[in-house]
Amino acid sequence: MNETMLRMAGIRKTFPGVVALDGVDLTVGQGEVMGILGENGAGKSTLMNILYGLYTMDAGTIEMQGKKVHIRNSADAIGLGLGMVHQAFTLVPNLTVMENIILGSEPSRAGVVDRGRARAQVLALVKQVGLDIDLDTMAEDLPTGFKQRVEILKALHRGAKVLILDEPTAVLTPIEAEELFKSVRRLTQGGSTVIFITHKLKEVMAITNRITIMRRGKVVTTLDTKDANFDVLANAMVGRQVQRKFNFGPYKPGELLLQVEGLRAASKHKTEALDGLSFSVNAGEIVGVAGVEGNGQTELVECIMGLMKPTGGAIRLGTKLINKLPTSEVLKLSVGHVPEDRALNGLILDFSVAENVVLGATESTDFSRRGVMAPRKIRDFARKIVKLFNVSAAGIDVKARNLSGGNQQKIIVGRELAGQPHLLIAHQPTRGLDVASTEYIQSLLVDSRNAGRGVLLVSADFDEILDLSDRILVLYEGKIIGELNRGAGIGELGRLLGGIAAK
Amino acid sequence: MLTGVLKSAVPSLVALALGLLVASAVMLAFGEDPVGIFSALFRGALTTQFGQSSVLNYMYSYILLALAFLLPGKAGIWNIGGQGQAILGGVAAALLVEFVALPPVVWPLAAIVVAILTGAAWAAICGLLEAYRNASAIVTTIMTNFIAANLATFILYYVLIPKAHVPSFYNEVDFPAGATLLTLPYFTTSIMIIVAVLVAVGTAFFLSRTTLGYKIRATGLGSRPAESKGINPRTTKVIAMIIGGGIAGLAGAGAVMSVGHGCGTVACYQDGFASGWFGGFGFAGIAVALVAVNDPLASIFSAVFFSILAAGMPFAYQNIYIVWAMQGIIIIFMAAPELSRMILTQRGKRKWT
Ligand SMILES: Nc1ncnc2c1ncn2[C@@H]1O[C@H](COP(=O)(O)OP(=O)(O)OP(=O)(O)O)[C@@H](O)[C@H]1O
Ligand SMILES: [Mg+2]
Repeated sequence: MNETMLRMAGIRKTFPGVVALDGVDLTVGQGEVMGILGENGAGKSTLMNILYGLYTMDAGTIEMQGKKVHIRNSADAIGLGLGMVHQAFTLVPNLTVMENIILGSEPSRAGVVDRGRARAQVLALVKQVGLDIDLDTMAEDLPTGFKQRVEILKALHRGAKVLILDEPTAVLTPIEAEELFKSVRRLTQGGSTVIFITHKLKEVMAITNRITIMRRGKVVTTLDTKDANFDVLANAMVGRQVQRKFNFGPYKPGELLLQVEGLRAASKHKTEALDGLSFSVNAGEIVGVAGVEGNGQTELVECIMGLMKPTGGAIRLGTKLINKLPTSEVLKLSVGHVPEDRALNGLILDFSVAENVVLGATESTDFSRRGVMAPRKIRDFARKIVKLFNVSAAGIDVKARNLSGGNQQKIIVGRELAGQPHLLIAHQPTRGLDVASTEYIQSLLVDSRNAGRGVLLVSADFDEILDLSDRILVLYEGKIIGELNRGAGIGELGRLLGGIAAK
Repeated sequence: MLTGVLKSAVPSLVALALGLLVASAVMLAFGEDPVGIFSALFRGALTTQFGQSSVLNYMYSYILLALAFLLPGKAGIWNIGGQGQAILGGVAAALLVEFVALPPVVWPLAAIVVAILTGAAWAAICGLLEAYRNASAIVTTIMTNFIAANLATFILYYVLIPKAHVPSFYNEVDFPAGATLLTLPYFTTSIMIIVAVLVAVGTAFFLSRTTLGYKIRATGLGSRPAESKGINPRTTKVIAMIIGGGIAGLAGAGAVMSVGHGCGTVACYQDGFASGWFGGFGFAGIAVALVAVNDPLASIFSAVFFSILAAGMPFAYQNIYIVWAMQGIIIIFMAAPELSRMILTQRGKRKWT
């Protein structure tokens, strides 16, 4: 390890009912990429939020370059050269990229923002770190990967020497992730230090110099990346063997569940998002939709779920045309839906866990009678999901907001699978989940398929698609440009995804 | 639930203390005697029969109008229109009584039902405008309050008073005894206070325990996740507005069909509509709800306090303006925290990508 940049020692933090951090030590060397691994709820984000001044610790010390520092708020942290990019972005949508970058650290002359100087500064920065971006686009019009670039540039513009990236790749496509790695490398060459949180072991192996593994608020071990491999890491993380082997029964596609024909839809920006899409999903199969995000995945799922009206074509569940059905009616046809953005679409963050597990199901006789809810049944059901899915939470009465990202996702998947829907639309079902939970949820999808139910799996994670799908549809610019069968390799998929259709 | 209510009372009590303090300072600055004014106010409201009756009369309107604000608020829609919904509810009740004679018990009940339906229908307009035309209810409910007040005045002077045929200097029109609500023993007030408390308890149950209440809260806290699970936020908002409007309509019916307002021991309705009685009830109701941090049960307690302030006013008449100023200061201190929280969360909900 190089000279020590940052040392956190004996960090302790409790929330009502949970010990989130229990004496954590973390040492990061100057110019290195430190990976932090750990199952959902291990305390990774909490530790970083303390470092960045968003939470105050109950006990512990923080030193930077050998000097003890007191970080009371994020202004202190920024002053010390810390920068953080959160799991959820914080850009102002109707400002340009440039304005977002300089927001809060505008170069000014006599109290007026000096736009010329700002631009020169930002351009120099962009060039230096190789994060290419158009400075005059509105933040809201940027694809996800670019929003993240803006967040990183913003932190750097404020003088960050230590950059904290909390699950940066969860929202990125593999290609975008590759770009991010390039810039991270370039940053560390320039002397910056990066703390990198992720659940993807491959990424940890690819980008970090050292790895700290956390479990239940404690550090399990810290090791050099060159001494690590998949099994060592997975074991240390979850305390047991993780095998990514699924029991696929024989492939016997049954009745037709979902049929999409010539589907067209317009995106928010009024451009063509779906351009005459056709495919079907049968009982007993997992159909994967692979593709770089922003090629129509969101619109496709929203059209099926009745959240968006198609401009043409037909969607049938069985033989029933559902183009114009409201969401509530679609759900009644035994369709489950894991939405892509859990915080935005999947959970009501200010509802408790117990309230969230019955979202959309309150009318069921399991949970209510004549319009009056049955709290005991609801609570039993919530406890069941928490137990079955190994959700780490201080109870079923805590607000969803206070769960770690991965545990929020488990609540959603649990809720959707509990009803054993004939057809499950799973959009990024394992995003943000740790290895063990990922494996568990993926095995549930496989179980559904083996039990003769159908799954439409929409994912930007190539491995997930390749491992699980019986058939793979490759989506590009609103069209299906190719179909692969089980056993296809990543090379084939990659070629198709590049937009080079295998004709 | 009770400890929750008690906990939610703490900030209000702090605010109340601060409000009283600042108000006292203002009074001192104007050479008034705060201790004298406050003790006259509280003594009058709490120890005289007139004062106590008056407290109860204010209280039921305050409770109901607080509910009319907070229930739609749970669905994320701002009903500033309790005022207008109550006025039109009252007018509708009066019209029914004036034009349709019914047997005793049925008569007041029918009038109340008509009032509730009228308040609900009036509120539905603004609900629909927000849900389907993107016209913020904050704005439309305030505008429709003016329409309601003028409509009520017109109906009063051109329909109700001529029909009642008792032109007098004050235009007093007594309410038929057969349609007047039951009077409580000892106090000069009707059973509306009991009704209001029951409605508050019912609202608490409705919001926390029924599926519709759940959908209303879900819509208010996260309309996107609610929508993606099949809860239609637009319909839910409209329904919440309709229920809120119905409760306001009930308050209006109470005001015209009860003894104790303006005409002493008989019920009468004239000055009610022409701004007098209803004057600031709708807005006071909003303040009551805010102090109660939008909790239906806590609204009962916060209404007690506001009613005492209002009912004690005539007893502290040395300087009526200083009393008004004091009320305003206290309301600002007590309602501001919740109001700012609500505004902030509304803004927070906008998409910050
Ligand atoms: N504001 C909060 N209030 C209460 N509990 C909290 C709060 N924030 C975090 N927790 C709890 O602290 C623990 C650690 O959460 P944290 O978000 O740090 O986990 P994480 O390691 O980042 O997990 P993930 O990989 O799922 O993002 C969890 O049990 C979580 O429920
Ligand atoms: Mg986290």
